[in-house]
Amino acid sequence: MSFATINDDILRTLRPPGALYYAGLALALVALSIGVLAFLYQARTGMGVAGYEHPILWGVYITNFVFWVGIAHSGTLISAVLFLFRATWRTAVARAAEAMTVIAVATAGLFPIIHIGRPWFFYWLIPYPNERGLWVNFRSPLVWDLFAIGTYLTVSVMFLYLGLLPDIAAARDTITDWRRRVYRVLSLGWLGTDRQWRHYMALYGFFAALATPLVVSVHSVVSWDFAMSILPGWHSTIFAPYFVAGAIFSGLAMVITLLVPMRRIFKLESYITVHHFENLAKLMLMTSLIVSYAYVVEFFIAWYSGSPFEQGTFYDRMFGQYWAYSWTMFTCNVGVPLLLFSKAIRTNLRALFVISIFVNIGMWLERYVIIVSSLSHDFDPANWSGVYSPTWVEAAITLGAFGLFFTLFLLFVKNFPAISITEMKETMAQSTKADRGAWPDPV
Amino acid sequence: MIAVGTPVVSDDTRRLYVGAGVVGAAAFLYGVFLGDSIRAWQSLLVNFLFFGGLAQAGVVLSAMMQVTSSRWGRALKRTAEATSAFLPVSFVLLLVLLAGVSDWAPWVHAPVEAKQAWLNIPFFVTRQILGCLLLGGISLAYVYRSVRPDIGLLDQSGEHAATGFARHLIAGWRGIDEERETAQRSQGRLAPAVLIAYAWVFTLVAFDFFMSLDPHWFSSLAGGYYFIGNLFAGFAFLAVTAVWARERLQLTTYIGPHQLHDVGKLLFGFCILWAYMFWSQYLVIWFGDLPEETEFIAHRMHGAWAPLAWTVFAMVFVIPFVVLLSRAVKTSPRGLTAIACVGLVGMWLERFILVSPSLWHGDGVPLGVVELLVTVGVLGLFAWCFTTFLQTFPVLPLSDPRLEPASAHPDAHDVHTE
Repeated sequence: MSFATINDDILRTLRPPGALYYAGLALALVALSIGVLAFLYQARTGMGVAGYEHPILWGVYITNFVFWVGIAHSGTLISAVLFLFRATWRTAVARAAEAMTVIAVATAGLFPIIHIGRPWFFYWLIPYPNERGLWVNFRSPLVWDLFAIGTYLTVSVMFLYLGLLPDIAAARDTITDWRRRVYRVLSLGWLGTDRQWRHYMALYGFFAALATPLVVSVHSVVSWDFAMSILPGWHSTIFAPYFVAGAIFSGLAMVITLLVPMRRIFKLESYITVHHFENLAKLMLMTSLIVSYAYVVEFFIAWYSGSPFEQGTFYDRMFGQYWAYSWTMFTCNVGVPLLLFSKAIRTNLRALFVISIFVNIGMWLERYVIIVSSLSHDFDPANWSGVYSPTWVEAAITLGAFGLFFTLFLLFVKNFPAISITEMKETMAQSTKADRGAWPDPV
Repeated sequence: MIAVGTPVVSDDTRRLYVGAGVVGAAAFLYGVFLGDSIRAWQSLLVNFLFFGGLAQAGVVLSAMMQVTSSRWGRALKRTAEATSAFLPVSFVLLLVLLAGVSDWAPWVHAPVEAKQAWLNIPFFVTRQILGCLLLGGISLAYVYRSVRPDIGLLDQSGEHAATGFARHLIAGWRGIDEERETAQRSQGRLAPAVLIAYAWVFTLVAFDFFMSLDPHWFSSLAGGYYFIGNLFAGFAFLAVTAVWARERLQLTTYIGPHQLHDVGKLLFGFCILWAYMFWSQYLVIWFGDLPEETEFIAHRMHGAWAPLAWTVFAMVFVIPFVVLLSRAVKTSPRGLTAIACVGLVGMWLERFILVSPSLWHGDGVPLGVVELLVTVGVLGLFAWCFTTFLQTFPVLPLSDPRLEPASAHPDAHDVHTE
């Protein structure tokens, strides 16, 4: 790797890719189409096809919403928080993770719309003074959600775009096909002058600082959608930090799931190395330990509280109708990640890829368990029927969400530099400058 | 750097520390046997939580540096670890507290039936002793692995022959190269263990020493809130000692404005994190409005305790947050010390307001001579342990491959800040 080859190596991803890429894209598009068809069917027929039945009026769609918002978080952690911590290894993976953030938030944003009975009135959620005489209830956490996620999407898009600017300009100067015009417009006349670089650097640091609190705030607000109620299993003070850790945990797993194939398809082995994956794995292990901590403490406090409703809900979670979901979730989120304590496993990309899939499944199930098992076991024993099980429509729309996510991601890496050229060079320059060996032994 | 064995403070000062310890012990004993015993017990409890927490926080900060392979603050690693010298003393304080548990724990005389399986004296005493021994043991093993190659390095180079206790620590010395490698490897293993044990044991401490004092109250974040607050105090103490060590231990080559800036940023971060942990509990409890949860907060935010509650919130969050936004303050030795001291006092008061309102049933806020003397006593012992550590062991982690002079800090040639 040298300064001269970085541009060519990274911009190579913008040239016509191989068959593997198109196979992946086709698969993702098929999944997306199935989801779209299922959604049209649901919109025509009504919410009954989604299996909602009193008292379980939140189900798979809200699970998906929380899951995808969570996936987004690790991207911001890597691009903003690790930037502030001067963890330079982030450079190789930050761009892909940031793109994942934006795409995941966009995917998540569709679910409240899918979830409401009349999706064409979704804009009623937007809090603005209007002539229909509707006014929003600012004490509702659902409104906080709209603000939190709206802010998050806006900042993430701007942060991603800002980082891309110099790289788009590099693409503009290299690519000769029709996309050149698009790059020309998007690069906003970037020439790489001294002044432009100075402004760029200052702005990048500013955005990193602005995005950092969002990593914490967004999923906290999402957790409060649940914790603000007094429903056993939802009303818990640990929810905010626990959701944030879980979000980053699942997001890191998704980053690994995406990067392992991407590195192979685009031959980026010398840029995204095993060392990067090992660091991601360490972070994943840490967040897994935090999530495990939260599980244990939640169960303990449910017992310690002495409230029969709390105790009943948690007993039901373990041994009730949804026990299989809970135990799978514990295995995937608590048990399997413990393997990462072994360096041999952390540095084995195949093993890491498999573990990341387990974590993705486990974290999806976590949200499902929290939502469905608590709703099915509220204060009224007459409601403890546990009638809810996902229908084919919900499954198809979930599949469609994965299809949408992968489609957008694949299109992104094909059309924009998947690794930051700018930061790659910057990191190289710094490691050349700070020659560690030059300093004599302090004694 | 200052040579090993050189007094880091004058002998008179160290005698003063011991004297303070004696006065504090006398005040405590007087309080327990002749005065208002609950005030003596709560003073000891608060100071055990605060100074014992500070002692542990130092090791945790060092372990964090090791786990993250960070370079910026290696020069502060040893000053951070120096608090560990107080760990044995805080274990003694724990034993005293456990010996008197029937005098101060409310659940002994007014048991809560549903919780008796958890809140009973034998189990309480056993789990606290085992938990603290486990955490303290791992921590001291970690510190031993950290100091050993440095003592040996000086001994081997002939710069300072190890004597006494330090001599024991380098028994079986195998040459610096091998020792350095062993030390790094075992620190790499022990550091995550320190962090994990810290979270769990401090959760246990929080549940037993402040949550259970109001036996009907519960909050699943109580443990997390407690150990994050403790790390805030740890960073504040690190900031104070960084400035002090720079001058007193002649470490200006290693601790420059960039290092202080970084400590300031982390202090700022933990100040926000503390507020987040507070707010995460407060909002959920307020919104849920369940009497068994709100009582704990209502008791502290209304009536005689209200002014103190707001003082704590201001000193731990509002003031540090506003002041630490300024880069000038973070990089100025005096500014950083001043704001860190505000945070430390705020944190002591926070520990006090977590404990005391649950134990004290009289009027007003019981903050008087007894509390002051016991605090001064424990502070004296803490200072004595801290300074003893620093004059026994090298004040820099000399053998650490990541130790760098202040001028090698990335900000010294970082395009982002120019």
